[in-house]
Amino acid sequence: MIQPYDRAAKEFAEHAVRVAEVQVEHFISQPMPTLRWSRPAYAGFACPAVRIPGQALELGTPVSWWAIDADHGRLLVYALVRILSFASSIPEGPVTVRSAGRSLSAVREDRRLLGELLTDAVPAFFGGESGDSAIRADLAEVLGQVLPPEAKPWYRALTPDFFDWLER
Amino acid sequence: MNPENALGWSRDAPDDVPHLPPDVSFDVPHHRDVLPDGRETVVIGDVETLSDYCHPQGDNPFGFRQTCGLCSCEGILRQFGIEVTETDIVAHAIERGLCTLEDDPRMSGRTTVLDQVRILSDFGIPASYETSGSLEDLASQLAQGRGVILALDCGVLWDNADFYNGQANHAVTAIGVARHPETGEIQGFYVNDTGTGEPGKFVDADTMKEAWQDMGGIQVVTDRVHRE
Repeated sequence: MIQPYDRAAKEFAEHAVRVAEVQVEHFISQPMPTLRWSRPAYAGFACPAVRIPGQALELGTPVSWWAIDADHGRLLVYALVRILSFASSIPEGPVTVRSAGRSLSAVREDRRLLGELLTDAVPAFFGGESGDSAIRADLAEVLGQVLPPEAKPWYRALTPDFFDWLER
Repeated sequence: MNPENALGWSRDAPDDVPHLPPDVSFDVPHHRDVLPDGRETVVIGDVETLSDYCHPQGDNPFGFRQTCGLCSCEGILRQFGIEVTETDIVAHAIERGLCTLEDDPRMSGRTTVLDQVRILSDFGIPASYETSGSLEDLASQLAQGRGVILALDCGVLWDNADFYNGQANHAVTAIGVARHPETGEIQGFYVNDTGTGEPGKFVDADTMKEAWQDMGGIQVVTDRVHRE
């Protein structure tokens, strides 16, 4: 059974491999649904980040990626990009993430909404169905708020099937 | 007469001699104080002394700026009387492969919690890492006099949405805990934050819960305590 997105995201972020292998200071992406490995999964990437108070966030090219099973959160794959890339071509960083000028509470609310929408939407995606077009539209809008536009090419390169489905 | 409240706090001591609930034990200095918001508190931990072991990260000749984990190791080692500099720690990490080396030195110097454990152990302070820690766990570690590095979300810590990741992305050292003088409730913690260079910053309990506990409660804790 597919678990709620928030729970999957927590398992993704706190997986033992992430804690042991991925540098604390890295930017960790939101895990996105995918069927790339022929089973429901959530995949995300890590990239170097520069966070200096008073300056914009800067992200380097992703250096590692991993995926967990969407049903039970077990690790499916972990790899360093230089050993096993998640795409034949990944846009090179660094990128500077423009400030959205939003408050922390507004960003928290966007993430909460993203969790709800993904929980509602992913059963259709994992089931190979189109799903409710209104939910897909809402999801696309919230993803536009939560994912930094500058990092979107990396998200798309890692889980192209999900973004194709979203924009169907 | 020794009037006590429901939690067993003794109330007949002078105001400048704080008492603690019977279930709150500690082996480190403590004193009565006032929090930045004006609330009375009991501070457990030698915050004033340990605040000296903090400086803005990036103070090394390699140009490495992402050294919050390495600077936290430096701070912990200095807590235990081992006089090292950020440069010493960065050089050691480079030599042993215990931090990242990127093409851009500004993006270099990152560590995993295992790297931090290894560095502390290399310098004679064995440590281990734990996950799913709670505020009470953290308070207990500090009350025992252990060195503690926390992995937390700096977006929450700095109230900066641009750096909010919903996950741990920054390392700080925790150096003290503030408890309510009567109930023993945790009011907050004191941290040395090399990201801002702010020593002994007070972080209220709600903020610490969101920034650290809710982000996995990941901490590196020394085996030894300060007074040993």
